[in-house]
Amino acid sequence: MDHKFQINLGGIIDLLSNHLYSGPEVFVRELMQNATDAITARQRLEQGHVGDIRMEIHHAKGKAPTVMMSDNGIGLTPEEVHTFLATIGLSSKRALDGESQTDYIGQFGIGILSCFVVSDAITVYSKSAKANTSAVEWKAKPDGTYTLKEIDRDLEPGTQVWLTAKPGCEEHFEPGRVKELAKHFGGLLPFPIRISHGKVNQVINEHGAPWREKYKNDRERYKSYLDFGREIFEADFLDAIPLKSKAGDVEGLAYVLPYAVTLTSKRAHRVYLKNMLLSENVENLLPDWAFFVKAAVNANDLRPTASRESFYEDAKLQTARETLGDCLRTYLMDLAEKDTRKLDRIISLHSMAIKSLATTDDEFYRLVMDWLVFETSQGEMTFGDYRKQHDVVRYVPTVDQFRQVSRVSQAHGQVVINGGYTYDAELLAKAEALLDMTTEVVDPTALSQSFDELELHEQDTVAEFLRAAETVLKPFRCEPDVKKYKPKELPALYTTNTEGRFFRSLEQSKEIANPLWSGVLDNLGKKDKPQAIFAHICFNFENPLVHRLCTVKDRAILHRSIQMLYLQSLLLGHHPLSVKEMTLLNEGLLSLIEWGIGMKES
Amino acid sequence: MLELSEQIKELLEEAEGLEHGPVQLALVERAVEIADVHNELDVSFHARVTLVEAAIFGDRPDIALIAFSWLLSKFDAEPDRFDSFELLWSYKWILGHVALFPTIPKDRIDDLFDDMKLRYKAEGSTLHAYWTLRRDNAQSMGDKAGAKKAHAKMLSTPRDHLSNCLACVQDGNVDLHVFLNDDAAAIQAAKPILNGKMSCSVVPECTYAGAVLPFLRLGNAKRAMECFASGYRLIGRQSTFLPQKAKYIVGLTLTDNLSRAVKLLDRHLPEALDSVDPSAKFEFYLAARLLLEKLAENGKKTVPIRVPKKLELGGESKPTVAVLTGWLDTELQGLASAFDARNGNKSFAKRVRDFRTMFEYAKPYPMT
Repeated sequence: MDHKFQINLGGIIDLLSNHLYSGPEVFVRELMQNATDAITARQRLEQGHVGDIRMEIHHAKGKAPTVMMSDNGIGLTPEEVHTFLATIGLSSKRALDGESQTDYIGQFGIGILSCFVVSDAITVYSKSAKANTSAVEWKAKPDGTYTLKEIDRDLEPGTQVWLTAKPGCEEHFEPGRVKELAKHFGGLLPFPIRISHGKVNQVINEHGAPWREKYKNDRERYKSYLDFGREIFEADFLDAIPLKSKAGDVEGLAYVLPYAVTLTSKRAHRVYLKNMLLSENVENLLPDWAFFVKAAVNANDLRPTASRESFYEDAKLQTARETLGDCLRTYLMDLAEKDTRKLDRIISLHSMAIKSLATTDDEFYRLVMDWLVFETSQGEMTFGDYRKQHDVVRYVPTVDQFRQVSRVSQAHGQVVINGGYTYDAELLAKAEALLDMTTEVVDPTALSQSFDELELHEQDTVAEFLRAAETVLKPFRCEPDVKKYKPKELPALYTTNTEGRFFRSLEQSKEIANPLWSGVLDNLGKKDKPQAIFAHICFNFENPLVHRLCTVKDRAILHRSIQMLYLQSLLLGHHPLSVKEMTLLNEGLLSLIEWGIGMKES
Repeated sequence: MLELSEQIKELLEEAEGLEHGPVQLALVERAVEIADVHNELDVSFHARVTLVEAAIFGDRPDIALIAFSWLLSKFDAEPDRFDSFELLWSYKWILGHVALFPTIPKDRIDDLFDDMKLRYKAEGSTLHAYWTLRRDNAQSMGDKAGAKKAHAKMLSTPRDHLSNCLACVQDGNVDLHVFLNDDAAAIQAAKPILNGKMSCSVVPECTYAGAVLPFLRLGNAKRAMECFASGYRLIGRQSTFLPQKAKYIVGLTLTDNLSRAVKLLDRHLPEALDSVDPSAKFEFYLAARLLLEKLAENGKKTVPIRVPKKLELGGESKPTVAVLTGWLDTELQGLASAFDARNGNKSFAKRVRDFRTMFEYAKPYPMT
């Protein structure tokens, strides 16, 4: 025989209040949501029906405070009460044929239970708008029992819900709190929410959504937008951008954040569904790149997931997201034409976001590239300024290489850009395809090729020195050369490229690896074209010390000096020393000290 | 000048705020170099732990292997100085990627797995993660029997603190069933992920792509293209996820969305050329080859893509179908023979030879 699960309602309520709902205050949301859905359903029956939601707060001396919420929606018949109010997990709002799933907000059939979190008794009076039904009174207790009777009071169609505060929950029934919550959740509803307490009557959603209001002029509109942003987000934004998408029926505002955010920070947009607050933390509504804005929007035709933190990833959402992205893009393009000062401010604040977007969006790239600031060997300048003076985009891919190269190129009258900062190399590389400029990655190893060669007689002078350098540097797979370049204070320039750096780090790991891993690294280093040399050192013949070294005959001194110049050039270029090089440095320093002492003693 | 540790911390923090890829990797590499230059062992260690992760997810497994080897040596020299958990955790990433390099011989890969096993046992692991990795490795090496055996072992081993996350294991199940040609089981395994019930940093990104082919082979072109629509959005912008992009090109080709397939080829071919991962290259080139076959069949003479500088085809601004096909065939054969020689089977050559059989599942489903 089949048995049914026994359900302990108290346990379920405890579960709901502690886990599913974010806090006890959600009872206001759930009641408003039911009321709104009921009004929507009635409007389907009676065209032009005007919705109305009322809340009454009663604080009688010596009695627990009560709250009543009523709506003039479709109401419930006695049968519907049994089926929907008293069956957990079955919502009256499941889509019927011909209705789309998004016609109603509530879909999970547990809304009314949230009232038990703050109230030990729920009383509902309801009268269905359907013909020939009588009004009902439903009283439910948290032990899972309820009574239902038909009453012959002459009620208008609609529903009233009465709650009485549980001991300890009185704060949620305070008039100020109830108003605040009603406004928080239902502030954008297109019909009035009237709250009365004693003699005070108030409509809490007079203004509704600022994007639905009519304004005298653009200034007034703009001010209202920013005021709304300040009110809901408590921040002074740089700007408000109107958003609208037919897909998903989305409308609202995107506020430009007055502070920088990182790419991976959580996007938290405030989203209303059918004008009821859905969540303050929706993530997937705008394109990923739109992290410089915080949005407040209403969506009438998108499906939320049960967590309320995102929408279902369907085609409709994708189209909506693209359309909303276009709104932001158009805004930036407009700024570029009309208000470059504001654009500059946004760019400097959100440069990371903007650079990231520009690397993947060609149209946007063309728009903003000229405003972006880069470090060059002549100081910081915008790309637009650089472009006015140069046809070739010459850049160095890493910061350390830039430091090596910029000094030399500067002395040779060539401007190079530092592509080592985040996104800069990617952006500069795109200038070729998108701005029709020649781009040139300055390969530090190639740089020395442009230096002046020695005269024939000078070549004779350095022959001995060069041979010695070859011998000394061979174990380090570094190829020496002597040329003439500026600045003459620089005795040697060590250069390597990406591949060279890769092999340096490979060797560095291999020096300390066990046999198994040493083998793996060997396998990994196997390339199509094995490289014997992965770095160059170019000694500067203009440098007095190098000049003198070329005449030194003592092999020991010559070798040691070359080694030390090699190590110095490595350190200048911020290259980590390998174990072998570190040993060399120690030995070198010691022998220099010994020579020093020896010279003194002799 | 900032304090050294501050400077490194800042670099690593900036890197943390970026998505995986070359930009993030460059920042972490710089942090490692600075730490090394100043000979700060603990800082170097910490920075390299970050480097392994950035390199693995930034599609530079070669850099990850080099950094990991360094970490392992330093750890073995002073086991009490460093935390073993992070190291053992990243060992999984490493072994998940060794098979991608055909220059690493089979025996050595086995030795690495033995080494991992010893270290995991010493840490009190159930070896659940070991068997997961063994299974994935067997797949990468075209070894069906090995994959089945390791999968069974994994299922009978309890999870522990070193296990891959549930979403990753589940995503691996999808790939395994596709590999074993059991499409219904693959889709069954993909369901909880596609329904949004499981996720992590690389799931559902991988799963959407993984489900395209099984959906197609089951005749469900609509679902296959839905996976493309949802999944490609998540990865299209990034320079990583090359094998997944290859799967989308296959899916678009087989559903006759050719202009979109060509767009993906145009957009991601430079990434394939730049990739250091021969296995990812293979997948991408094979997908491109399928697309070109279809273009040729439709009588197309040229491929409307920009030719990356690196691809030296000579002359024409738009490559002809014939020239690009020839280039791909050479690359594919080279890669396949390298992999097959290492793996000791013919699975890669077979895929190159038989790629046309995929047209059996072709079913036009135009995307709007």
